[in-house]
Amino acid sequence: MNQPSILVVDDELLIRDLLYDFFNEHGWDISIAENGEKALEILGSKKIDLVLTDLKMPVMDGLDLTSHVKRDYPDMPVVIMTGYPSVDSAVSALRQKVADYIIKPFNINHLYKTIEKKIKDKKD
Amino acid sequence: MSELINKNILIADNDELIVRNLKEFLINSGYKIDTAENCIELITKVKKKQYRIIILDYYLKESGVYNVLDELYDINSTAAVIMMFSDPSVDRVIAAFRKGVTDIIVKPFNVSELNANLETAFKQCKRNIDFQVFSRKIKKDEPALIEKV
Repeated sequence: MNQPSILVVDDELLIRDLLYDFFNEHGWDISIAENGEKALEILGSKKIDLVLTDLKMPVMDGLDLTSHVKRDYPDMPVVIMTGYPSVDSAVSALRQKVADYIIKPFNINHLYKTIEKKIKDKKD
Repeated sequence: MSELINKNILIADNDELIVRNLKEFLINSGYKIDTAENCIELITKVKKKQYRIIILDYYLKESGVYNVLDELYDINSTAAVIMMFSDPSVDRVIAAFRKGVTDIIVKPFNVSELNANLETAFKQCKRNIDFQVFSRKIKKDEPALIEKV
């Protein structure tokens, strides 16, 4: 598989740094944004294989971002991560055909394998 | 997108009241309805008829519902499944979608609100059928492609 390119969207600097360092160490091309609006700007400027986004964010939250992404890039896998899971948000996210809904705190190796598989599935 | 002619729906629930209300509403809406009150009956009926949508209760009796989903998709890979929950949890909802469920309904619900869920489910079923047809075509054309190479 070529070097995967992912976009991480989270308003928490700690999470952005953690994910940036982890995926960077694995040789992935990683872009980061602190909210949905910044994420859409990045999506319009470079090729991305997968979007990994937090749910609760200022400016544009993860569900709004997913809706924009699915409209403009229908085949783009979106993985939601949240520290505040709820039945309503899980149903809303999954009705938008997100690739997965992951609850924080998560095991980063498990997250890595999940994302790697989703990108592979998309390419197959 | 062309409409599906076959509009067979199977309701799998052991709650008689739910089944009666759902069945009446769906028949009046023009669908053909069968019912199953446990997993064994569900699988038996799925083997006999091509259903487009299966409305499945999470607590359907005899065998775990997720095991039944695997068996169901082995028999009918194009059906869209709507799962009914009376006490949904985040974990159950995520597990259901990871198992390929198309939509979730939380009990109690008003049957008149079902139309949007059915519309989504029929679209999903049509996509599943299109994908199956496309996959078969690729498989059929493969020897010719190999010969050309």
